[in-house]
Amino acid sequence: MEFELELGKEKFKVKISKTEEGVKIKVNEKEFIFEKEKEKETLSLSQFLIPKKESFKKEKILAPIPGEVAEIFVKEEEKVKKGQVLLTILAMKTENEILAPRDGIVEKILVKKGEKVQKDQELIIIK
Amino acid sequence: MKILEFDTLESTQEKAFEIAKENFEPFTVILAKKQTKGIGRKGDFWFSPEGGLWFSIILPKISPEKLEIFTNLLSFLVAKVIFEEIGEKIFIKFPNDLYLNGKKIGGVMVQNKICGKNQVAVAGIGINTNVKKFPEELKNIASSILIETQKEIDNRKFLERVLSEFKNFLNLFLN
Repeated sequence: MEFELELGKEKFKVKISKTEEGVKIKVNEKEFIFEKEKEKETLSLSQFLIPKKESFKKEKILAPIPGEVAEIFVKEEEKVKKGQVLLTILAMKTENEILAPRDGIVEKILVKKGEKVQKDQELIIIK
Repeated sequence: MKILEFDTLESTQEKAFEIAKENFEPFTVILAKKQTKGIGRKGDFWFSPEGGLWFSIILPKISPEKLEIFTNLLSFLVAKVIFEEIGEKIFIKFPNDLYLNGKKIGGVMVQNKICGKNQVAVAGIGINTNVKKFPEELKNIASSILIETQKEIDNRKFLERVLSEFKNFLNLFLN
């Protein structure tokens, strides 16, 4: 495979080919060879980068204060990102937004909108 | 207190959270001449054109329990400053709406975002100081100090008075 690449004012001729040594990428006159052994290294590194089992543990989101569940913004089995608003608890007139402490999936929602909750009551389980 | 002033913001509350996320500095004030998506409690729209006083304050770390009490007292603090400024009694629709002559002229709110062990709380205060006109649908329920008293408020001086009371009050409260 050959193509020309323009980056700003610079032009690069790129040629990618498969050889016995591995994958060869030629940029202008410079050659880069990605050997099979290196591929193995990459693989082992990616294996190493897989998060430890502990981080997949379920996490219970608890009510920080007694109050009323004003709104629930997620559904069960929904993927959530760290910092995403899960629900709000209205305590007197303070709005407490409870955010996801990490990326994950909402396994279980244990409360309903309008429900009164106690401090430390389980609200949502994230897996 | 550090005051960050903006001509237009969607919402001083949202901006305050954004700023606190980058650099958590308690007592930073976010002030806007007008808000395009000003919010009241429960995310209700708050009409906030030029002329009014719209600001949010990043609060120091405070437990949710104390924060609840603080929210309930915040409207008294703002009502006190308005009373001292214009000499008219302010009616508080407990805990967070301020009325003058039966019409809403301001409000306070506290939003608290809790993410695991991290927590950021922001107090939002909106006062219809020099708002000259209200849309038809709000005319009967909302008003401004200017419309009700014909007195023009110096927003900057007024803000400084609120902030000074606010800080004294919060320090007492925290200790």
